[in-house]
Amino acid sequence: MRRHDRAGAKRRRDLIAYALGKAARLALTIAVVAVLAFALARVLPGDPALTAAGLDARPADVEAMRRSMGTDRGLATQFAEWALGLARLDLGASLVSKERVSRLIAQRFPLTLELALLASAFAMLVGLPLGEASATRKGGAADGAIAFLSRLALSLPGFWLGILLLLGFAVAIPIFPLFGGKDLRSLVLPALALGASNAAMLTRQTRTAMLDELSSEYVVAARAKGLSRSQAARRHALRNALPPVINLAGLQFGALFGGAVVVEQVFSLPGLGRLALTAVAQRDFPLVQGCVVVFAVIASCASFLADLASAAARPGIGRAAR
Amino acid sequence: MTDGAILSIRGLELDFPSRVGIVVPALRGVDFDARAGEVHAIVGESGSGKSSCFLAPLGLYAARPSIRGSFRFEGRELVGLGERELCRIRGTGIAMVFQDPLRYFDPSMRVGRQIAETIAIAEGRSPMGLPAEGRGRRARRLRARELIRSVGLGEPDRVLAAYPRELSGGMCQRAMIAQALAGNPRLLIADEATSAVDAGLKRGIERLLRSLADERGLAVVYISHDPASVRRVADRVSTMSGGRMAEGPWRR
Repeated sequence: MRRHDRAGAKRRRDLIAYALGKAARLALTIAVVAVLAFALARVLPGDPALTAAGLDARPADVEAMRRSMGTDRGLATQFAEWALGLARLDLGASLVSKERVSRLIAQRFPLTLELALLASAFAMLVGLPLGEASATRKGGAADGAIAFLSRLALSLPGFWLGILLLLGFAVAIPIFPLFGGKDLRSLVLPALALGASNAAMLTRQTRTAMLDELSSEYVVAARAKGLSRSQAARRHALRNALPPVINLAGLQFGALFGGAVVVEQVFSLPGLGRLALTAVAQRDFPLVQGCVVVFAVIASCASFLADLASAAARPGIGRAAR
Repeated sequence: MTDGAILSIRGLELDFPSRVGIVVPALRGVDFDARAGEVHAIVGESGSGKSSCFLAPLGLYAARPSIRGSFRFEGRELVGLGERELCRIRGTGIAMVFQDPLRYFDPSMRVGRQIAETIAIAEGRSPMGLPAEGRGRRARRLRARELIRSVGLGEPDRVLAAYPRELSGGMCQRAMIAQALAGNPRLLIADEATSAVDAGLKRGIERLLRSLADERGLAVVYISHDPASVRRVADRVSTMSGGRMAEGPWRR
């Protein structure tokens, strides 16, 4: 009994050491992204002061605008100021509206988070069962149909699918709103548009991982002890096939925020994606940087959590599986 | 000749369809009997068809080979049965123990849960057989513990709580035998069950299989490529070569 406790304690210690290592890498990623976000925003052609003052403004007015925005100072000074703020979790103020960037992001964040969660849930609810079904019916008609559907979903860009969905289910059969509101119903079509290609990728990944597992000896043994093919697949092969699927879902979740930029535009949803797009158009450097850092933090956290989840999903494997 | 035989194989032929459409013959005219309380060994080099005699009729191959001849278990013909019926015989009628327990246990499930799963399968198939107190999680746990003890493992709780990789090869093989016994089978097929275990532990597993036949009256088919091991365990020995029964059965 005590030896069993000890084995459990060792498993926990392993998991904690693993989590700490991942957290350190997460911090490094965010630091690198912060530098890149700053540099890329400055590389963009265009001048926020010129945009704000108008193209026909006098040079003196533009210069005054630059001074008031603080973009007349050296790049190093600007970066140091921003980085110090970032370390205190202060993202600075928008050049255009003068509002705090953190406030602007906080206002838009919940909508995009809901959209991403919904799209992610949709992708998993569709991808896992379809992947399992096509693996257990490999070579059959269902497998072929699922392969065709997933190729279709992968080749349709999100914005195009979004427009089709709007035409179909908001115009022709008006069961969903045409313009974005704040309720869940108005998020259904955007989530479908955003999650469709992810669902297809998860279907593929699940199918591949399941086929690998289905050819394992333990599946033969599970059937030898009296489970049917489908029971052996669901109870044993599926759980061993999960880690790569969870990893992919985590990576996808981070990327969903990037995909939201386009889909929010199509569905006119006031989310983080549209905020970032407007910020880029206005060369609002602090806001662009703030959005990029938030995207990066979310993407890193999602893949970090997915790593933890997939490590936990295969408890008997230990470090070798990572 | 089939008097008292729990398993009787007659004229079993097996063909594997290959990718290019050529038929690959695997078994030709195999006769074999297994009796309760007896260990009947099959010896032969690898690829001689020893395992195929049992895996194919039980429907355990991924590719469906074509089978002819007869494979009667407790008087019932298995050749020609569908997957549903075969599934009901596997585990509770005929159980199997494989060569490398680490690969034949689900690596991400605790040993105890895998054994309990087998007990639950057996329970599900005996609607009247078990008294009410014999069912349920706790009862399955107790039964699993008892099974672990019966295969000569101490610390049953530790074994049941472990993942397969956390057990030594010998312990894992004994746990696999315990799992096979969980379905209360009448016939146990030990497919190279001692081949992956090192020499010292091998004797222990051999004695355990022997005692299952002697004490529980189980019919044991002992598949091996090791003649010395077979001499220690078996009551009867048959030799296979190139998909045919080459010699035997000899009584020992």
